[in-house]
Amino acid sequence: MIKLEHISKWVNQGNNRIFLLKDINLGIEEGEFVSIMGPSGSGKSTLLNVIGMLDTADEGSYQFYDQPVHTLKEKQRSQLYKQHIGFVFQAYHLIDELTVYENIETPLLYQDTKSSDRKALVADMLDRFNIVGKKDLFPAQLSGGQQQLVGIARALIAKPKLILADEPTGNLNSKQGEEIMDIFTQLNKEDGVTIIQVTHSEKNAAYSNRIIHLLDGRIEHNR
Amino acid sequence: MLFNYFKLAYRNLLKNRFFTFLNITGLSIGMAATLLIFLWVYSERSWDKDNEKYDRIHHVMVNRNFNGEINTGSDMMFPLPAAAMSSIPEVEKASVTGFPSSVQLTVGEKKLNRQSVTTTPEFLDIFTVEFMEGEPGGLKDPDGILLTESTARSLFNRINIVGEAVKLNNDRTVYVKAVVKDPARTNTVQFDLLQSFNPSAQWVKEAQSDWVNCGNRVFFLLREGADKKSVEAKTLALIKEKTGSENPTTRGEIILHPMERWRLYEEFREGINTGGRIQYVQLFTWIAIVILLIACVNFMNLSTARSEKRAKEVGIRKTLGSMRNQLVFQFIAESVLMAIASFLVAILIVWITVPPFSSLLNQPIRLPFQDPFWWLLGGGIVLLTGIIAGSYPAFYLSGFNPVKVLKGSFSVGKANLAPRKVLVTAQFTISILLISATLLIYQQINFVQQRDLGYKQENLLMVNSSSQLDRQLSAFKNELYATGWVESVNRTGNQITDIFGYTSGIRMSGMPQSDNLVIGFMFTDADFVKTVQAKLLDGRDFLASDTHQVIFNKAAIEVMGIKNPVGKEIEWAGRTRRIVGIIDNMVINSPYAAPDPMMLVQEGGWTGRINIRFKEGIDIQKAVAKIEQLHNQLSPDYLFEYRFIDDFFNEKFNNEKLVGTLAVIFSGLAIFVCCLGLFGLVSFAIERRKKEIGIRKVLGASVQQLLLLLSKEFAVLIALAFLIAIPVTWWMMNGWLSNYAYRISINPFVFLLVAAAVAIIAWITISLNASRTALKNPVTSLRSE
Repeated sequence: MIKLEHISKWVNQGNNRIFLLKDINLGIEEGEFVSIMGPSGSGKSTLLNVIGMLDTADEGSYQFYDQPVHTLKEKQRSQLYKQHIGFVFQAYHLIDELTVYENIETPLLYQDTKSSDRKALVADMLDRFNIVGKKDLFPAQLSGGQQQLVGIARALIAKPKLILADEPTGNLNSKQGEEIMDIFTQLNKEDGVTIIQVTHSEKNAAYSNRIIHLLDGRIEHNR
Repeated sequence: MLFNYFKLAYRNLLKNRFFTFLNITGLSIGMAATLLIFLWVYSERSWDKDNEKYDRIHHVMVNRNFNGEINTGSDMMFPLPAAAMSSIPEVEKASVTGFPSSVQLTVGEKKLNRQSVTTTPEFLDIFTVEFMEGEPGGLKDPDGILLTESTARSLFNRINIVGEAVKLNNDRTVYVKAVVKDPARTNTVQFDLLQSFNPSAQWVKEAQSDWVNCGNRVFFLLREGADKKSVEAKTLALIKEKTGSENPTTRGEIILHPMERWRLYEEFREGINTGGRIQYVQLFTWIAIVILLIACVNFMNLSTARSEKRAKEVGIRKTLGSMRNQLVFQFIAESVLMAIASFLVAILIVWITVPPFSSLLNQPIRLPFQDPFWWLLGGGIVLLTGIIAGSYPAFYLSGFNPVKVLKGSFSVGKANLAPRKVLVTAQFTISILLISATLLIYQQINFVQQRDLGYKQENLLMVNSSSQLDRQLSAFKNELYATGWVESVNRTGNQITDIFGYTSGIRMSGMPQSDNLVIGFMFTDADFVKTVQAKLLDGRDFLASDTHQVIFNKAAIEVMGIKNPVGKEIEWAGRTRRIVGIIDNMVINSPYAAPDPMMLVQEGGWTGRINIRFKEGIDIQKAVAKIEQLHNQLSPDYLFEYRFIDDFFNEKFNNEKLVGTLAVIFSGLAIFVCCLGLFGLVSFAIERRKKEIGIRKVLGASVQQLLLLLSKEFAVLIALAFLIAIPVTWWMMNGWLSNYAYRISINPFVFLLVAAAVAIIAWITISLNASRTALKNPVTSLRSE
């Protein structure tokens, strides 16, 4: 599904080139549940952004299914990721001005889904996460765990093949964190959604079936 | 999707109430100002359009050539229309029409003074006149008149009055042949009644073949597709042929002034139709656009200033798959929604302010709710405003990189502030320009109003004379003096705020030969100098015993170039006249121009105005009541009509005063809208620097120091705006002032004053906002970090 070859990304600081990612080679198959670990500044989030096509590498090639992502234009990349990828963030990143219902609905708007279909899909999702009663509330009226549930529901609404989660439990207490991880596991096992998460916590990493350790932009350990 | 955008926009606007309030206030004021100005412009541009033959009607004017000095006149010779109709094929209809004059209408006991226009039956073929009673043929009868509806109603209380007799000026009985609708206020040619030239009157008989003297207007109705230039040439050729000899008219040229230019392009200089009201119309059209732009700039500034708050949303939407153009569209939808809301408020403002605005302009301004053109224009303004205001924020905000904004490492760089700074500077430049211009306009009006006119206007009453009163003049004078309130009484041929006519026919032995000698003249009688309190430089005032004496003013003596004029004799109008006195120049026609050379002629045989100089400190109301009573005793058949000369004279300032008032209103609005924008910008700047302010306070900064810190960045922009505005204003206002011979010179102090005023307004705006933050306990602002 994902094939990164010799991916490097850097910034120039004076005459020094500081590598954010250096010569990353990585393949991920459909249906995997991968955790990316490593100390702060090791390039975890950068790698996730490159995989999510929000950011581009300076060097190397990236195959997503059969598409050579590194050669695509921004518009085409945007088309590609909005169909296949759902994002979950540490800070949830819900749109404050939208209700729970509308937040979940938003990705469908960008995919020109018909209004009746949208209603059905959002209703399903609300049901599935047990948040029907909260659909008219605004993010500020929810607890952190509930917000992250909405974030996941939003990531899943367009039926993505891949979920990218950047420290999804970072702002949550342990009980809420467990719930989220259970949902991820369930998604991975029952729906066959590929999941890549960045995490600091060994406990969360234990939910996954593969762990990649990053250090200073390199893959140190690929298990 | 569109509905979704609007819904979101609505919530966003509601959530940021402060921002929305600033924007809607600014935009709606901008739009209301624009709409009001456009309504006025529309009204000005629709003058005379009621006439069905609008495109083909022309006023025949002439550039008279007084040996190089071109003088444009609207008066033409009497036989021209008839001759033009028969010999110039392009002229379909032509009419000779007198200038409006006041006539007294008497029906039984009822007396009314109304404006009468004397004309020929062709008038009704040229102008669109709507008949309510009677037939157009009525004007063919020399004793027939046409009354307007309002005149008919005030005379008879009804309009079915065809055949009724009316006495004109107490000497001639005429019969009502028709009643017509009142001409719209937006018609140049106004009348209360139409009468025809009386063919049996001696002067009309003489005028039939007089191709030299001009005293009436001539209107042409050209055929479809006629070439104006060729008609002008043919008309001049016709006049040359008929006149036979050379005169200023035959040396000059004929101008067909088309109806569409009557209202707005009424001014001629050196024989060229240079403009007129159109300059004000255009000026205010620009001001309207500028005010709207200032309001749009506010929106842009406030939106981009808020960008940090919106950045997160942009980032999320991009990760959810939004295309850039979808985001652009979203932001534009938001600003269009804002524009629609502002437009509704603006319509309300306009609806409330139209009546006072109308009375200020002294013309009816209607709200054209039924006219689809206005709805289109309104829709256009809304869309355009929305798009202009929304475009910059839309492209700016939608360009954010989602990775950066979501990571939180996003900050607005210095480069992004630059366009905002340019916009603020531009706004203030325009405001400063408008305010300085307004001040200068006021200075000029004030300056002219305080001009030494060469005579005293206060306490000077003018009473219309009549043939009855003329016969009893000495009795009237004696009665007036007997009241003890009157200092002096004199009679003039016309009201003394206008020069009666101009002549180039003054001859004198020993006077240097000059063909360019054009001197204004006025008829009067004894005690002129005493009554108007002119300054006598040499010689004496007119005496009751004088016949055919003249008094010149200083300017006239200068152009004639004569030494020791008193006692010398001149030839004028077929008589030898002796100069008895020289007075200082009097400002008569235009208070802005240099005084005209003038000759006062003592001659009898005309009915005119009686000027009455009151003594100081008397009860004017009582005096006027007494004069009315005397008038009605001595002249029972005529209405008592009077005006104070200073009121008359003040009307000459109407145009400039109006421009001044409009300038005050609209430049005030402009600076207000600017300050709204500044207020918003400062509040966002403060929010951005909340933490910095907190830290500084903890470190011991005083409130004043913080205010200074916050004011500094804006103070620089405003100072820059001054540097740009001053030379531009200087240049523009010098141009405006050069229209006036009597004018102020621009005093740099004005700019200092404006600088101080704007600086104070801006500083109040800034500190109102900043002090709130500066006074806040720093703990609260630091804790939230």
